[in-house]
Amino acid sequence: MGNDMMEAYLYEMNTLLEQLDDIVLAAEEAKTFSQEDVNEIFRIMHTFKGSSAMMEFNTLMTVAHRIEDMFFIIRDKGMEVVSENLRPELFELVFRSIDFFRGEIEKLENDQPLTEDIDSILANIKSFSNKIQGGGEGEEEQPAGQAESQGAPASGGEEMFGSDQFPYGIRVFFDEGCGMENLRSFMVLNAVKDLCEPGQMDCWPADVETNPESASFVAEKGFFLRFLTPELRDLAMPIVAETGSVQEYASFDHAPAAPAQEEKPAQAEAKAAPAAPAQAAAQPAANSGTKQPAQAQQGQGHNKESLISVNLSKLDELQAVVGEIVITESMVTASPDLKGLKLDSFTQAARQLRSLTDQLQDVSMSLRMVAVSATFQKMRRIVRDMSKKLGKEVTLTLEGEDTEVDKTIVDSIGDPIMHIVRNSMDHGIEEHVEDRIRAGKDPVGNIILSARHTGSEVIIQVIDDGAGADDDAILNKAIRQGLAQPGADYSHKDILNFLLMPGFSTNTEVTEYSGRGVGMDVVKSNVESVGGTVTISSEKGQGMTTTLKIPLTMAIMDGMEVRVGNSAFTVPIQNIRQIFRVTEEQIIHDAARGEMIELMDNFYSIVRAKEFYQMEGGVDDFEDGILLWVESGETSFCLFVDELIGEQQVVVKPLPSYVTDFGIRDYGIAGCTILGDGSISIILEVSSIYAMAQSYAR
Amino acid sequence: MSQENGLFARVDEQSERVDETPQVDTEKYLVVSSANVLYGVNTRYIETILTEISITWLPMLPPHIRGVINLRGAVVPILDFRLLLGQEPGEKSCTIVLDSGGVQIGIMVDEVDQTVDIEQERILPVPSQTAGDNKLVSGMCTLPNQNGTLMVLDCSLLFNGQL
Repeated sequence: MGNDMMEAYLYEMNTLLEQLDDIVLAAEEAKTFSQEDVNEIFRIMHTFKGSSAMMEFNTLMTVAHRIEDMFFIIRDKGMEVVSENLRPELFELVFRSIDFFRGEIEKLENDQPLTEDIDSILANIKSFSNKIQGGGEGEEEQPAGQAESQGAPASGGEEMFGSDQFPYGIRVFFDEGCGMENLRSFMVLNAVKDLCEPGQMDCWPADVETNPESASFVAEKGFFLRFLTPELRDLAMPIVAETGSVQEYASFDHAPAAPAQEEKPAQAEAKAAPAAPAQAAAQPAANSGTKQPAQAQQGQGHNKESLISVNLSKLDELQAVVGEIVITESMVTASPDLKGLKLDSFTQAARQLRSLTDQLQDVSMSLRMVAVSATFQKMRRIVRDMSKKLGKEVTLTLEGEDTEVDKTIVDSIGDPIMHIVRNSMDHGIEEHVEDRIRAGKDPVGNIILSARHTGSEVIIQVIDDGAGADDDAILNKAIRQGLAQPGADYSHKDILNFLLMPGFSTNTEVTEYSGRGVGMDVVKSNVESVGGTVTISSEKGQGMTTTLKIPLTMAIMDGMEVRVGNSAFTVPIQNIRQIFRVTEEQIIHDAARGEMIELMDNFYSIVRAKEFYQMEGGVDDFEDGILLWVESGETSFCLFVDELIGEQQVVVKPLPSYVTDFGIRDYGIAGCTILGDGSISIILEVSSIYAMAQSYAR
Repeated sequence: MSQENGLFARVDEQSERVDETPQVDTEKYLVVSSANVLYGVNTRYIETILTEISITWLPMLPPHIRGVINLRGAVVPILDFRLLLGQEPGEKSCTIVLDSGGVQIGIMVDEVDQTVDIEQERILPVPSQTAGDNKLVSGMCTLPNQNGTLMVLDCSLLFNGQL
């Protein structure tokens, strides 16, 4: 089994599960499944079943099959068959099943063995199926017959090209738009032919090998393989499944009763319909297959844009090459060999090259951009589950789901957002509705999850209208945890920052959802690992707002090259507020040998890079060096360096873990970049520098 | 890079010769010297050998990590073998870049000597009383030409950063 196939399978399954989750969430709100929903779930389960069977994951296939059966009943008899009081059970059942599939898919992703024991979930599905079937029995005298007559027009009058001579057929559909359907059909035919003696099978259209016109017929109506016996057909099925580009295949039986002549397309009726209601549940599997292709195509028709899915590693590779091009370009155009030469046409060409590499960079970056909606949608489910469990009624409002960020960033903010949302649900929203009513709030809690762009950053906010942060409680807790000094004065902002410190968790009890010993500090470190910042604002009784500021992409950025001693550092331009020279007289000294400067009516501390990094080289007098006023999130201070080298676009490279294991990240060393001359410059992360410098001062 | 090629060309010639002899479990080791001691590095790990490098110093690291270099676009940390063993830095140096599963590190030693084939059974354990100083050495053996004793380096330990 190829890795690619497995990857494609996992991707497909995850996408389907997400779709399913969305449908069920929406349906639960509407308290019913619309006919479209049911069809869609039916389709999803069918695909799930087919793909799992192909990959030989039998447990998954069986469960999907049963759910498909269950929805067949619902599709058949309408949503009325599930009475109002049974519906919550149905939604729960589907959610459970989704969770089951998710769990299994996760196991596959981690190369773990699948669960063997699926009896309990099957029993649940079965008992529910029985319930709805039992409820509908009275009005179902000839269910199957009706189902047929209703089913056929609904799926758009399926035509089955069977033959009297060879009544057992397989209908094959190829991937939409794959082209050359006639030749593909011929390949399938050839693969299957070897199974049979001559004269035991044929196909329709018969002339796929010679007649290119047949391609459009196959694309539209499918390619029909017809066999003498069902055994031959069973043998052929796996071969068809393995053939390339086959999107759908399904068996059908030609009804010999139909007055069709040989070789003439005949209107096929599906299998002679069994009439007993008990069989109705078992029948759809065989039957549904024939209706499937049409629905699948309908389903894809409206949401299949001209999209392709690309392995992220390829995009990483592209990004890396583009990065190298950017570097090489500046190596060429700034080559020391060119110094002092007057090269008009070279300069012009170089300028053009520059604008092209800029464009290339933009395009390659845009390829990696994905909307945050998938991550946001997942929160719906979390809010739903938790509000059930905790008995808190909460609505989740999503804003700016279309906001796009780099794929790697989306992946790394999923967990932090989930954590914050859980926190809001668990600790934010009031335990009792009465408390909310007394506070004059809507009894139903509200959590807003929003995303928006601001130039180079994405701002993601989780806003709840819950009880908010209780300063005293937090401070007491912080003192107990040894994070705060008793008796010291802390501002409201300082107190909120305790929430982000390691080892802080306001809930004394560990709950199922939050407070597993990991807290907001994990959120903070996750977000910081992608170069972002976390801030919390909250007023007691007014709820809490957690803001994540995250760079759009971390791969390429504008940096200011500075020098200290013999070392080159890069400070991100977006962090630099101002650059200026100072004289010794402007510096204010405090008792603890700290240095400060007054800028725009505020005092800012000065961090000397030379001392901070305990470097040997570098200047000591303020007159000889230069100050960078830097800012990041809540942090604002001045960094003293020897000199500026210049502004440059740099490609961020991570440092090898061999060196980052020594904790140099905490000292603001976020990565490095290779400069035009091949030398390495260290990229500084200013907020970490300040945090570390502060802890030194204490 | 010509030095590198020359070196490995010789390895190939030798391996051809070895093939003619009856099957013995041998492995190739590059002999390097650091502070007058000969060390053997399994050639399996060796990516390249560099004589001139420009190291970018990184702050807040233990002294034996000299910094990082740019090796054809990859950022590779450089260890000074003498400093790693708590010795004084040497005057001349040569850097061998080791690769283990895509992770690369460079080791600065005094000199690179030759490649030798060593039968695995001739590698003897290090006496336990000296183990403290020889934490990176997994075994020792006499060089085939009787030119001294070789300390066989445990390269996997070198890749484990927390030495």
